[in-house]
Amino acid sequence: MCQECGCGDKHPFEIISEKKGGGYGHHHGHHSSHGENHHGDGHAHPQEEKRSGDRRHLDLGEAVLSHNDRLAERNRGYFKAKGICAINLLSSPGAGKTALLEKTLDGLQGQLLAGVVVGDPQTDLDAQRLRGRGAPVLQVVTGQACHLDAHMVAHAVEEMEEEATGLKILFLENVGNLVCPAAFDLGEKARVVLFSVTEGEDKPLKYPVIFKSADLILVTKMDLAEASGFDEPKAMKHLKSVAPQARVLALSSKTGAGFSAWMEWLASQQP
Amino acid sequence: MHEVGIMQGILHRVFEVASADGADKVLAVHLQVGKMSGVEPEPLQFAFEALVRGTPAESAFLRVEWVPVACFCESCQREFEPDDWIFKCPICGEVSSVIKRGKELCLMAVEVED
Repeated sequence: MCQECGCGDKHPFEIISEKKGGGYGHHHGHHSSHGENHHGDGHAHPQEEKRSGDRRHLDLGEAVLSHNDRLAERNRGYFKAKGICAINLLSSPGAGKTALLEKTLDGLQGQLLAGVVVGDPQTDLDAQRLRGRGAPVLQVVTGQACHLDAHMVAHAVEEMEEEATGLKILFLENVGNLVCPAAFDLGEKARVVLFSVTEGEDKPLKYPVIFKSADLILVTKMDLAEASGFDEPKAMKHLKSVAPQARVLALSSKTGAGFSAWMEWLASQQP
Repeated sequence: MHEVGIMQGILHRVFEVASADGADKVLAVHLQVGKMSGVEPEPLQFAFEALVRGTPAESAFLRVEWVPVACFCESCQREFEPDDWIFKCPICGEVSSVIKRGKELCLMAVEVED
């Protein structure tokens, strides 16, 4: 039993690092940087109890995601203490998250130490693509889970620790999904939602919750805009109406067009 | 279908509370769910029914209070409930990014019996 996060002997997910490949076992007694127990005391504390015969109404009024939220806050505190800027990257599958990171890691190499935790239901293919660019990369194989959660991130970061001294940016490449990951705080500093031109201008209207949670929205694959008949003013209008809180940048990871604004935004996120 | 994982967490807490109270049976689970919580009614109900089988909550009801989105218009200094996902103030037409309610996902109460 893991003392810190309360997870059982076996995770429902697997973490694959470069040095040891698959089969993430379990680390015990090695959580010093994360502090005390994540769990509460495990006992119920109903605030009010109305008894009527055998039937009882127990008032609770507690947040359902409280376990994830607690772990996310712990991650956030850890990142802040270490001076790490964590960026949660979200999009539908195939919107270009990994391509964005390939080019971003190349651009950061030798300047700023970045790391990546990438989540997929199966395989470490994305991690393989991202390795060899001067950044520690860990793959979380989420199995049945359609999103990364704060627990997975905490373990991945712990696994990464020894090769991540001086880490400044940590990219959390979420599972490709425009619905579920929106509900799970990972402890990130900023949320970046990608939206590729081939997905159609209406995407923000169809998946408003995730776009409303974004700090930055990247319109990707701009090199394909003309070929796919992408109506950029219409897409921008939709983004502005659904996600007025977010900054929007358009770029192409293939040609590099618009990439400098993204790199500048990243630099502006540094503490 | 992250509703299954969320419901697992909810039921874990429900059984913890019921057991601490010495109850044998769960009669109802009361939730408060905001329209922006990312949780949808049908998958939530499906997850509940699938997960309570063979548990002390097998015959329990799931009661959900759905909370509409409420925004605040900074120009008009008033709260409003948008009709759709574009949070446009009905008075001045400005799009609001200040969300007052609608992100709730709370376990409000559990009804139990010995």
